[in-house]
Order: sequence, then structure tokens, then C-alpha cells
Amino acid sequence: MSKDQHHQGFMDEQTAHSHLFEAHDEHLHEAPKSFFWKYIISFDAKMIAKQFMWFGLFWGFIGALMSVMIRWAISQPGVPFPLIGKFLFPYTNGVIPADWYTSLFTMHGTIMIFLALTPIIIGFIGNFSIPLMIGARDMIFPWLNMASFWTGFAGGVVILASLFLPMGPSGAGWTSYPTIAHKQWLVGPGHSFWLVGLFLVGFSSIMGAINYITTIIRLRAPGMTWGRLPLTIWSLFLTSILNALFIPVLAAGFILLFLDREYGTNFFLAAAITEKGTSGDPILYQHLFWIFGHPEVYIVILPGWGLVADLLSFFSRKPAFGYRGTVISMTAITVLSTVVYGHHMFTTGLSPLLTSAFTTLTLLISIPSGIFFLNWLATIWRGRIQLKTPMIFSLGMVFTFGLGGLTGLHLGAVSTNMMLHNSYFVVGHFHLTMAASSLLASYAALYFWVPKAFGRMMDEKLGVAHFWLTFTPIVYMFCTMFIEGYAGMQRRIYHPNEYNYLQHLQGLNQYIAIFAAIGFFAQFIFLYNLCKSIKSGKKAGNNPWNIGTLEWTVSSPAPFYNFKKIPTVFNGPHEFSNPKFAEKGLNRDFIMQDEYIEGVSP
Amino acid sequence: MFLNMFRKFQKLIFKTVILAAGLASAGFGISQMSSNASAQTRETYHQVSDPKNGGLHAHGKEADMSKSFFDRYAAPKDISSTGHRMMWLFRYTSWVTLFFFVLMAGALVGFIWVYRDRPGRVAYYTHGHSTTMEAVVPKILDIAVFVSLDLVLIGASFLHTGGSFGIPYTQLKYSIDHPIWDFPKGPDVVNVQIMPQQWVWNFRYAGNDGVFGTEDDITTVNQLVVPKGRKVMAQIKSKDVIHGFWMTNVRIQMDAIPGMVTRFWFDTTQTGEYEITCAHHCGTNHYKMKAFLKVIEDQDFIAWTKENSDWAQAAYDANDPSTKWGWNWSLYQ
Amino acid sequence: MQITLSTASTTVGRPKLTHSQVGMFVTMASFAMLFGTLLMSYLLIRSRQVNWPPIGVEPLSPMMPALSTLVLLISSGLFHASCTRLKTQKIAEAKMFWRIGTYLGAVFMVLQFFICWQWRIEGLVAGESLFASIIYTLIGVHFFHALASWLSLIWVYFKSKFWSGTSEAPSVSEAPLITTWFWHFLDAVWIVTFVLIFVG
Ligand code: HEA
Ligand code: HEA
Ligand code: CUA
Ligand SMILES: [Cu+2]
Repeated sequence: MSKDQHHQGFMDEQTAHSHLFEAHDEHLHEAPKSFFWKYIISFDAKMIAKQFMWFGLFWGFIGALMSVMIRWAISQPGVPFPLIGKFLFPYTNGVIPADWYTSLFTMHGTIMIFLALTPIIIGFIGNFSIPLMIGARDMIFPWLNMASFWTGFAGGVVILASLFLPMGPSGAGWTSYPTIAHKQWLVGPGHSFWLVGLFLVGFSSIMGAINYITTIIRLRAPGMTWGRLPLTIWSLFLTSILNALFIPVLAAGFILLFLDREYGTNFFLAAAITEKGTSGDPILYQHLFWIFGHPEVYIVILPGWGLVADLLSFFSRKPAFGYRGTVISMTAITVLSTVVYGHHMFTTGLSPLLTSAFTTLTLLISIPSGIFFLNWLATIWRGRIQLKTPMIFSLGMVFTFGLGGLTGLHLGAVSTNMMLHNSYFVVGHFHLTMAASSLLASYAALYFWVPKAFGRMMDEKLGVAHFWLTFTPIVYMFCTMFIEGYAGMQRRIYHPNEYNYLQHLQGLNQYIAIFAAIGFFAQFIFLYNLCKSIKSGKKAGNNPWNIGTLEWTVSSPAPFYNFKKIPTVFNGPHEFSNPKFAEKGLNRDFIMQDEYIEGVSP
Repeated sequence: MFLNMFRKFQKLIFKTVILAAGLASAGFGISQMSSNASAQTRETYHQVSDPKNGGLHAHGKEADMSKSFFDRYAAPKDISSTGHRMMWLFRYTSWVTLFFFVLMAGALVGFIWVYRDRPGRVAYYTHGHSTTMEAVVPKILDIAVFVSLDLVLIGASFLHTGGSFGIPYTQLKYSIDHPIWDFPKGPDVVNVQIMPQQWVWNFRYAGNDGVFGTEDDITTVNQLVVPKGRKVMAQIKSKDVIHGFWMTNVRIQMDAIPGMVTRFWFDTTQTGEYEITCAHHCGTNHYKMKAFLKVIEDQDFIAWTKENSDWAQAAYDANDPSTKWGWNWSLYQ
Repeated sequence: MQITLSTASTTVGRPKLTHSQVGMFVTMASFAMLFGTLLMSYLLIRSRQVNWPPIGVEPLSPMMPALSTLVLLISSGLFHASCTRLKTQKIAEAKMFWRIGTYLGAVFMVLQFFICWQWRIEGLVAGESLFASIIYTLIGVHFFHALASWLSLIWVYFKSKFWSGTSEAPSVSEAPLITTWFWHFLDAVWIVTFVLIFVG
């Protein structure tokens, strides 16, 4: 089939169903004027994206503050937490007590993953980029989109409320394993609040996912074939599939656990404990949790992968290397991620057959990972690398993902996992993948799209300062954690000094704590930069980065309906530095996706 | 007004940054300094860490700076006959990943420098279609990683654990003597039942008669006594929440789960007292749920068993529920 | 200003799924995972027990649940009939089928409630045995989804704009169609649940 026919076929598909929709008398209305409909109950994906952004940043700061408290407790045993300690823990004179320590790491993990990272890397990136990048006027179900944010918000409120409960928030770890998560051992309503809050947050993610998937399938502008989608959109599509399919699994686990806690059922309780005859199974919960949990870790990184793949190409002024390979490997990881979850449960006495199977499947993931990773490197190879802030963050992400991903292999082999499970090695691994890679990718996205979202550029100098003061601490901190894990330090312990063989690690622990504080304070640079830029930054033109994807064809900030006329797409998203441009008399090194140039556009 | 606030804020930020940078260097100093404020005993440590005792600063021991970096932060001493395989695999993985990581990071940094934007620089136009030479190189690299790392890890894990996809393990060409899931049996093997609860470890030995659940069973708390050189087979089950039985010195970790018996075996090559830790978060005092592994000579162990079993028989109190836990060993053999 | 979300604007083509139908497919896949997980948990829990139902608990009679299954099936059929009438613009008939379907939906839920109530009176208490807990959970989770779906069916009924289409613009039947889809979906889920609990 020639390119032309292909194109024609696609047009048919686009128009085929449109008569059904055209006739629909549900039209979008004019941009809302009142504060309430504009900023609170907004149906506009771009505004919802901003809502998610502020929501995520708010929680990010709470989560980061908690991580600093965690580090303080570990490294300064018995010393009151400075400044706010006396208010928070008056009964211990400001010292972080042991039971609060369990709540701190639980809430830190929960908040960071579900309330800081997910809203930004999926809520913000998704809502902002999907309609603009595929050439649509809005998400396909604006109402659902609004409901998604506010459900997530309600979940956040529940979690926030749980922080002020008299018996404190949940302290079962973000994995919430029974039976420590049962009422018998975790008295107080904190954990039930946690379950309800996360249930709502999960529901919000499902609504978002339904919206994203349908929008990407249905609202692509004419000519925006699957092969011309920006990689960000591809990765959001895959993420949404995982979200839609696996959050319900977690929801089922949460329902059962909630019933166990509040209605005395014993799904996850053994007979010996309940004396009720029939015996539940705590391991069942672990299966349910990790069937969700492993896809979840890819949920929070996939949009980052796609985004970084795009940004590396944009700022190297070079097409993404091996577009098709990147897409295929991301898809392969999406599929594989559903069958490797057992690597979190190697020590639960799984049969050797299962552990070897899970080891093999887990390590298989490194093949597609390697492919897109090397495609990233090949993308910047022989490029013309412009070190703008989004690019710096992307490059940082490549570095940390390499580190974090490769240490996943130590953990993936059951043999070495026996020695590293539940140690700081794991903590180092997942912080480098999640707290470093996903975080840096989220920041790249913010720096990249703030000009389009708010119409103003962010300050480059402050951006660079923010990068180095974030990147350096996280690499130092989390790599040090590998040393500690290797030396045998367990995770989730309040005072490592309790053990003689861990006492010599105290120096390292303090070292990490200091970098955690630096990392935390560095975020204020970002906040300052963001607020200042929104108010008085340099005005961004339509296309400040000189990039060809569709969002840069409209004015900044993007108008309410995104596109006056739905664009027709002719080119891939990464058409840079084609030598033919000069022949055609173009004095720039990129073309827009909706620009038809004889002899250049396919 | 806003602008003013921002300016002030800006100053504040820069001050914090400078402060943080200062702190960093200070911290680096502290962490690298060797000090003799070390060697606190357990007792004093407890006093110091007690919050009610007023915020005293409890240091751990300082690292021994006379050692090389690798020795200083080495894994705890390996006292098992199987741990070296794990250590080998760990080191192998680390070196190979390090190699690839350096390669990759080198490429990253190198590319950033060599291809940085400067006047006259033109990017090379390619989509990296799979037929071209340049697209083959990444694939070769990827396969190299897979073969050198993943296959070794998979293979070694199989050998180590005895996982063999249903093929009888002993028939594998490269099978090794004691994969960790090849449970030993027989008169020479010491059998132990372990039942943790919040936040202590209970151990149970069969005693003189070699049968669990009889009056001469030895029970200990927070102390696992084993003979050097003999294989120890353990069945483990939790009384309340999930705990993780972790002997760092033996490189064995196994979850203790309520309502389910899990098993593992180990042996030891050196006498001494070692720490056993709880690896799974199990509540407020998880961090001090600690037991001791006491490795003694075989003849001492025989004497120890005899003495304690006799004592247990004599002191047996049918009304004391605290020692009446355990399960039928053979059910889970 | 009237701007539609849609992309291209001309011509006819092969009949295809509407946007909402695609969305509903994704939704159903999502909820299928939820019920699938619960049913898998049920099977796992069941396979671990020696006696099922446990000693001292009478096996549950499938008669009443079979009745409610039948009611649900009929209501599903009625909704389907209603949608086919809607396509051919027989609005009055469509509305009538819809109405009866909704009544039967209510009957189904009342029956479910009644069945559980009866068990409860006979001494099958959730929380006392895993058997009771998991069965009440399965029925309960299904019940609440049915309730939500039922409310959406009523809402569609009273939204007159869905019922005033013309044969030139048959897409008005979109909302009725997808809400009934979810009802059919719950129907299917219930049949699987029924078979697993009372037959298998
Ligand atoms: C964003 C999140 C994220 C990502 C991407 C990953 C990626 C991977 N993870 Fe990780 N993981 C977590 C988040 C993540 N993980 C979290 C949160 C936990 C802990 C949960 C808890 O217990 O609290 C965890 C725990 C965890 C465990 C359980 C540890 C334990 O508790 O005992 C394991 C074990 O197998 C594992 C493995 C892996 C593997 C094999 C990958 C692979 O996908 C990695 C693949 C990537 C690479 C292999 C690197 C890139 C490739 C190259 C660099 C190519 C080679 C280079 C050249 C040729 C030059 N992870
Ligand atoms: C995305 C997830 C995320 C992030 C960003 C972080 C960030 C950090 N984490 Fe955390 N952590 C987890 C996820 C995360 N963590 C999880 C899942 C656990 C396991 C919990 C459990 O065991 O149950 C954990 C546990 C954990 C522990 C182990 C506790 C224990 O086992 O006893 C420690 C200890 O040092 C720690 C420290 C830190 C530090 C110093 C940071 C620093 O990086 C913090 C410095 C701050 C930043 C670098 C930026 C913060 C971000 C914003 C202010 C804005 C948000 C914006 C965007 C997302 C764009 N974390
Ligand atoms: Cu027991 Cu942790
Ligand atoms: Cu995983």
C-alpha cells in the first residue's frame, strides 16, 4: 500500500464514525467566565491539568517533608526535629516517636506515589498534552475528566484528614500487607481512612484512563496515524491501559481488606488467629497487591519514558532514533509487566518453579528496556544538543534510570534477592527509578509545558540551579543506599543503631540526611521560579522551543478550544534537521506536523 | 507588593541554598571523619535513645576508616557454606552492570559534550530504521547485556535455588550440591521450629526424643543455638503478623507468615554469636525485633541439647501455655 | 459559538462504534478485572478449605438466586428490545420495554436483598465464616454496581433528549445503548457468580 492510499484509508476511518457524533447535539459552550466554572469545576482539560499540577505539588511538598523527617529520625536518634518538631510531637518533646516513624514512611510512600507523582506525571501531562498533541479540542469526555480530578481530590482530602486522626495515620507501609494492616494490630481508624482515600484516588485514575484511551483512539486529528503520534502520547496510552486494567485488582484487594478491618471478615486472617474455623490467607493479599503493584511502577514511569524520548529528540534537533522500536519495546514492557509480579514475593515460600519463572520473566524486561534506552542514546548521538532546562532534566533522567534499572537486575534474580529483599538496596533501587527518574521526567514536563500552559517562560538559570540541587542529592542519597543495603541494613527501621552490625553505617545515614535536606530545600527554587514565571516571566511566543508538534501551532497560553480549525497532520512528530529543508528554502531546522511540504512530507 | 514579597523570598531561597551547600560539606566531613566516640554498649545506647531522656545525641559506631572503602562497608561476614554463591553472583552482577553503566554514562556525557549546540553544528538526519548499520549496534549491545547478565543471573538462580522448570533437579548437568530449596533430612539434621510474634523470636527444638510437641521440647526466646557444620532445617510460621527471619550472616531470608509454614535450611562454618533481624515491617518495635544466632561446636551442642531437654522435661508445667506452641513437624516435611 | 469535539466533518462510512461505546468497552474491561479478581479470590479461598460449605453450614439453596437470575436476564432482554425499537424509532414501544426492564431490575435487587436477609435470619452471618463472608461480599459488590447502573438507567429514561431522535440522526440512542451495555455486563457477571457459587 502506498503512503497515499494509507493516508486515504485513515481518513475514511476518521470520518466513518463522525456522523454519529456530528449529529449529537452536545456542543461545547463558550469559555466559562465565572471563577467557579473556570477554576473550580472546570471541564477544560488544560485547566484540569493545572489543577492536577497544583494538587501534585502540594502533596509533593508534604511527602518530601516527610522524607526529611524520616531521614532525621534515622540519622539523629533522640534529637528533636527542628522547628516544627515541638508542635508535631509535643509529648516527646519534639523527638519523632517510633510509632510515628511507621506512619511517616507509610504516608511518605503513599503520598509520593499516588498523590504527588501520579497527578503530575499522568494527570498533568495527560490532560495537557493529549488533546493538544493529537489535535483535539478537548478530552472526549470532559465531564468524566472533571469528575476524575474531584474524585482524586476527595481521596486526597481523606488522606489529609487521616494525618490528624487522634491515633495517627496508617502505619502499615505503602504495601499495606496484612496482617499488620488489620485492626488487631493497627488500631485506630487511620488505615481504614487510607484504604478509602486510595480507593477514591484509584477510581479517579480509572476515570482518567478511560478518558485517555478513548480520546487517543478517537480524537486524533486527520492524518495523525499511530505512527505519527508523539511518543508521549504512546506512553500515556499504554499507561492508561495498565491503569484501567490493574487498579480494579487493587480495588478488589482493598474491598476485602476493608471488610476485614471494619466488618470482622477474615479473608486475610489465618484460622489460628481468628479462631473462626475457616482460614483466610494473608498471601492472597500480596498476590492481589503485586498484580497491581508491579504494573503500577511502570504506570508511573511510562509517561516519563515517552516524554523523555520526545524531549531528547526535540532538543537534539534530530528525529527520535528507532521510533518503531521504542514503541514496540514500551508495548512489550506493558505486556510483560503484568506477569512478573512474583519478584516481590520471593521470600514468601513460593515454589522453586514459580520463583525461577518469575526470575526469568523479570529479567526478560531488561531486553525491551535496553532497546529504548539505547534508542535514547542513539537519539542524542550526532545531534545538536541544546541544553535547555527540559533537556537537562531529561538527560538527568536517562542517567538515573540507567542506575535504577540496572540494579533491578540484582533484585530480579531470586538468588541475590534472598539477600537483598527488604534491605535498603531495594529502597535505593526504587528511589532511583521512581523518585529520581519519574520525578525528573515530571519536572522536565513542567519546564517544557509551562510556557504553553501559562504563556510565559520559566527562568533558565533558576531551572539549572534547581536541576543540580535536585539531581546531585538524589544520586548521592540513593546510591549510598545501595551500600547500606549491601551491608545488611533493613528498610523500615527506626534506629539502625539497634543492631551492632549496622552501627558503623551511621556516618552514611547522616550523609544521606544532609542531602535529603538539600534536595528538599532545592524544591523551593522550583516553586519560586514557577510562581514568578507565571506572574512575570518572559512572554513565550507560540513556539518558544521551535518544535513541530501540534501544541506549538497555537498561541500561548493555549486558547480555550485549542484549535480554531482542526489541523490535518502530514508529518511525524520529530521532523528535525532534514537536509531537504534547505532545498525547499526553509530557513529553520524543523517543520510542523500539520505543514505540508512537497517532497518532504511523506 | 507581590514583587517585593518575591524579592524577599528570592533572597531567602539563596540563603537557604548557601546554607544547604555549607551543610553538605559539613556533613561530608562528619561522615568521613573517624572518631573514637564509638563503642557504645547496648545499654547506654538505649538510655540515650529514649526520647524521654531528653534529646541526647546517639551516634552509632564510626566506620573504621583504616579499611578500604569496600571492606569498610562490606556485607556482614558470611558464615554459611552456601552464601558464597550468592556473593559471587552479586559481585558478578555488580561488576557487569557497572561496566555497562559506565559505558552508557560515558556515552551520555560524551555525546552531550561532543554534540553540544555550537555555531555550525548540524544534526545528522536519521530515523534509525532497522536496516541501517547504526541501528544494529544498539541491538548488539542489548544482546550483549542480555547474555552477559540476564542469562547468567537466570542460570545461577536456577542452580542456586534448585528451580528447574519441572525437570528433576538432580538430573541437570550442572546441578550443585545444596540448592536452597533442596531440603535436607535425616538424623544429622537439626530441626528447629520458629514462631515469631510481636516482637520476639520463639525457637523450638525437638529435644532428646527427636519429636516435636512432647514434654522435653526445648524452647528458647531470641536465641537460636546451632552446631557448627551441621545442616539446620527450619520450619517457620508467625503467631500474629508477618515477620521476616533474616540472618544476614547466613544470607538467608524467609518470611514468617501467620497460618502458613515456610521452610528453609542453612549451615554454618564458624562459631560465634551473630545477629538475626526482622526484615518485614511488623509494627512499632519492628526495629528492635532482634535475636541472636549462637553457633557452637557440635559436641557442645549435643551437651546443650541434653541439658536443656532434661531441664525442660523436669520443669514441664501442663498449665503453662507459653511453651505450648508448635506444630507437627512431619506434616510440612 | 458551537464547536464540536469531533475531528473530520464529512461523509458517511462503515457503521462503527461511537465514542461513548469505545469508552464503555474500556469501562467494562476495567470492571471485568474487578469482578474477575473477586471471583478468583473466591475460587482460591474455596480451594484452600477442606469442607465447603464448612461443617455446620447448610449448602445454600440455588432456588431463589435462580429466580433472581431469571429476572435479571429478562430485564436485560427487555433493555435490548428497547434499544432495537429505538433504532427503528418506535419510541413509545422502546419506552415501555425500558420501563418494564427497570421494574424488573428493581425486583432483582429486592430479591437479592431478600435472599441475603433470609440467609442472615437462618444464621449465615458475614464475618463468622469465610464462606459467608466471601459470598456476601460477591453479592454485595455486585448489588451496589447494579444499583448504580439501575440509577443510570432511570436517569436515561427521564432525559427526554435521548428519546426524541429522528431516523436521520439515530445517534441519539447512544446513551440508552451504553447504559444498557453496562447492565448486560452486570448480568453476565452475575451469571458467572451464580454458577460459581451455587452450581460449580
Ligand atoms: C518507576 C518505578 C520502577 C521501575 C521502572 C522498576 C524497574 C525494575 N524493577 Fe523495580 N521496584 C520499584 C519500582 C520500579 N522498578 C518499586 C517501587 C519497588 C519496591 C516496592 C516495595 O517493596 O516497596 C521495586 C522493587 C523491585 C523488586 C523487588 C525487590 C524486593 O522487594 O525484594 C524487583 C525484583 O525483581 C525489581 C526489579 C525491577 C526490574 C528488573 C526492573 C526493570 O524494569 C529495569 C529495566 C531497566 C534496565 C535493565 C536498565 C536500562 C537498560 C540499559 C541500561 C541497557 C544496558 C546498557 C548498555 C548496553 C550500555 N524491582
Ligand atoms: C515518587 C516517589 C518517592 C519520592 C519522590 C521519594 C523521595 C524521597 N524519599 Fe522515599 N519512598 C517512596 C517513594 C518516594 N520517595 C516509597 C514508595 C517508599 C516506601 C515506603 C514504605 O516502605 O512503605 C519510600 C521510602 C523511603 C525511605 C525508607 C524508609 C524506611 O524504609 O524506613 C527513605 C529513607 O531515607 C526515603 C527517603 C526519601 C528521600 C530522602 C526523598 C527525597 O528525594 C526527597 C527530596 C525531595 C525531592 C527530590 C522532590 C520532592 C517533590 C516535590 C516537592 C514536588 C513533587 C513534584 C513532582 C512529582 C514533579 N523514602
Ligand atoms: Cu517482626 Cu519486623
Ligand atoms: Cu516489581
